[in-house]
Amino acid sequence: MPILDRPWIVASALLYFLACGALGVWSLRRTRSARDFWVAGQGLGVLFTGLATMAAAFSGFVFLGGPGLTYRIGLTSLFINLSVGITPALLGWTVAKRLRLLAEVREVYTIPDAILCRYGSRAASGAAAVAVLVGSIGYLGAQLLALGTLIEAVLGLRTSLGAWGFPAAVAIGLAVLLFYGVAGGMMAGVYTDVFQGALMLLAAIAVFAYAMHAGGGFGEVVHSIATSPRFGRQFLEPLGKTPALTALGFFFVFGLGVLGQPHMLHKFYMIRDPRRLKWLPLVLGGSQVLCLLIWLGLGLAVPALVAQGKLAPLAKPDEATPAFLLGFAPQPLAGLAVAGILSAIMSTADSFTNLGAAVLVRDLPIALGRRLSRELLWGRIATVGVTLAAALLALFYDDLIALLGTFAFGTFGAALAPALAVGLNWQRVTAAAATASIVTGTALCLGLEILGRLKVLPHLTGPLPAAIALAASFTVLLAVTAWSKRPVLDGDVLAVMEV
Amino acid sequence: MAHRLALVLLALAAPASLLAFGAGWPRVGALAGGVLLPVALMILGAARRGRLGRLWLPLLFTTLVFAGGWAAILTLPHGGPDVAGLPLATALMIFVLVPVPLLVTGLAYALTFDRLGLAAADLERVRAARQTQGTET
Repeated sequence: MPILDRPWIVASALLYFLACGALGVWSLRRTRSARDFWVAGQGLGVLFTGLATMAAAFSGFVFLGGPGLTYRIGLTSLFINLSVGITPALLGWTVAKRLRLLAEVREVYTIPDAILCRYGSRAASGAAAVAVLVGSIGYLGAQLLALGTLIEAVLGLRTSLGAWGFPAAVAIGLAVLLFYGVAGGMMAGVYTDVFQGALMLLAAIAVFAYAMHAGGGFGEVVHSIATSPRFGRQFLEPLGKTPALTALGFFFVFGLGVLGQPHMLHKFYMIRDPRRLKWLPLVLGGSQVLCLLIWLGLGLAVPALVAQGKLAPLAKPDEATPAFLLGFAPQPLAGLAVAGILSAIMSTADSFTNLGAAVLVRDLPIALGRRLSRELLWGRIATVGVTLAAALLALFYDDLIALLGTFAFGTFGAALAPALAVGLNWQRVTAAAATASIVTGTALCLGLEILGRLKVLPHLTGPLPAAIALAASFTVLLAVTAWSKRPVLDGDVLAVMEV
Repeated sequence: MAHRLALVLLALAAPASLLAFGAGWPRVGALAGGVLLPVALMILGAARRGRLGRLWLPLLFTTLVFAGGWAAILTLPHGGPDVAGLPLATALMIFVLVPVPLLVTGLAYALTFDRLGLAAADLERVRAARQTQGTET
């Protein structure tokens, strides 16, 4: 009965859900209009906006997937994070200010709304909505994979249920997500994201410090890995186990794809005073770097402990984080870390259940020239459908959390980054170019990922499908713009773009 | 000028990276995509009336840091000699390529925001445009 042996973990998980529930009820009482519901009444300060953006961006991908990917491919995994040095300012200069200003002049609540405003094209916003739906199911699938991995380890389900342990864990995770999404998710607003972001930071710093301590200090950790026959110095080299093109692909997809992540961009609508955006890159980047300490800490400490003979080699790389927490961390720290991981998973999952549901009940109907009545009821039904589709994906994906996360991140990036980042800063970009770019990015990313997985194009693994799709999407946007007539923009949109 | 430079960089780097990731050649195209595309987009977003003002300096510095870092990563055999127990190229990734550009670009963004980003008068102009548009429609 492993769960009874770990009362701190159970208690911290319960406390976490209680705190989120209380915050959700509190924020529900403050929600009086659609503007309150979708964009938190545009009342956030820069610190809250930065923390909420970080919490939505960093998920089970970072807390479980990152250490797992590092265990498999070594420190090449850090290419995913290398772009964090430039992405906060890149977001600030290219999209944050103009998205927030669009929300100043029009009723803009979602990313397809912004596309509709900028291009005046329902085809472009409809294509963006489809891309958001595909990416949301992929990202939710990654969160369910992470939640299933955590639950299976904490409850010891593999020991008790064997091969059914993981599906059972995913089913439990699905139930938690559905409850959170349908009952709590609708009322749990951005304030829970802020709380969860703070918890994630605390957990990441504490786990990093303890992981280094458990491995005998940073010097001993890297020495153990370098001298181990299982890992060797190659593990620590930037291109040790991975081709250069794959490493460049990770950097490319995560460095540019960030410009199309709806769960992050959506938070920019919420800042109260657009002029407070000046501090956003430093707040967002600082919190991201601190949070990534868990990726680096466990990515190094777990192989070091295996090399030192203190931890058995992992059956599945994604078990790196649970194996460390359950085997080495003191119970209060493990409890804090589990709460931090739950925060990471739930804050992201919450964003995607809402975004996915918004596509089905708001963005697609608007693109088709209709509005649904009883949006809340249909929103809840849509939440269930999107989450079930994600659960199926999690069960049949059969690979690392980080790779499913890369696919989803890549889909958003390939579909939306060019139309937003170039289109919001160059008046010459046309609706036809944006639509072609969004369709190219979505179709290529999905198609190449499937062809790679079916071994039709076996070399297309890891970030390469998304990298090709993203590069193609930029190229198509520029090419179609070059061959199109200059568009005529509405006065308010023009004013936003001229700032 | 800066705006045009950004568009030229985009027009060169996007197809180059497509060739590199799609056909596996030329590999330098992938590097061009990874380093030049973000820089081009930063210039495109930051330029006011086609000009960068003082922002050219931090953006050039960031480009050079990334280009140098990538050169070390791709050319040092086995990541180079050890520094603090890590191969030099890995140490550069962790201790230079993340924190230095973050501070430089983050501070450049914040310190130039009031003049080059969004001045109070800009915001008033946008709000006035909303009212005008509302009146017209």
